Amino acid sequence: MSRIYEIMFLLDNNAVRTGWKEAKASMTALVEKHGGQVQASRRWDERKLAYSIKQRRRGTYLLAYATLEAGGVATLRRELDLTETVLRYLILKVETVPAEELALTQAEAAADFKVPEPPPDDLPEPASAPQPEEEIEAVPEAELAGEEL
Amino acid sequence: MAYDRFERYEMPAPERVHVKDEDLNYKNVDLLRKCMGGQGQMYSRRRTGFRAQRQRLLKQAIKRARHMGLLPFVD
Repeated sequence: MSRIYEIMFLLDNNAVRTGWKEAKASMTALVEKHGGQVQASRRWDERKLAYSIKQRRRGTYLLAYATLEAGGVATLRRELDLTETVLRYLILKVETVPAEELALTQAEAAADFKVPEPPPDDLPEPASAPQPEEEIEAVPEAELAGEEL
Repeated sequence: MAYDRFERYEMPAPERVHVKDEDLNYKNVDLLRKCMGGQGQMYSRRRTGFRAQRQRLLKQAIKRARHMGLLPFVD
């Protein structure tokens, strides 16, 4: 028996930068590969993460609703675990697809819909600048000579 | 007078955070923040004033939001 599932993906912004449509299509293709039918899918938000995941500080959320068989969910989970562009995912059972989600999906499919470019501050932390070597103060030769005596 | 433990019963505290059950989901991050302390710890039932069912929804929502990186485990 197939059920409706709400699937939230947390995508790597590096993948999103190459094109939101491609990133979204690869996720819907993944769901369909496991016998799912995507009812709605949209960009939920792009935000700073509460804690860094795989050295990423920001991420883009994709919210999708799909009908899947129970067996398909298990195999989908396994594949998502192995997909590097997916930082996190959450699959929940829901009763129905909310009407507003369908509307928002249509709005996103419109030609004039623009996806903002993710800001660049999710890049890995730059390696700390090399510390300038401490200059060893030249000890006057006269002092050294004095110690020796 | 004999000690009557029922005399000590107090009415449960009113809800300190006003929410609807259907709003308590992991996507409603701003709302969940109101039920959390400054360091990201979840408030107890005494502080939220929630009944058991609603507190359970809150717990589930916070845990899901934390998993998705929407809320901190510890701030």
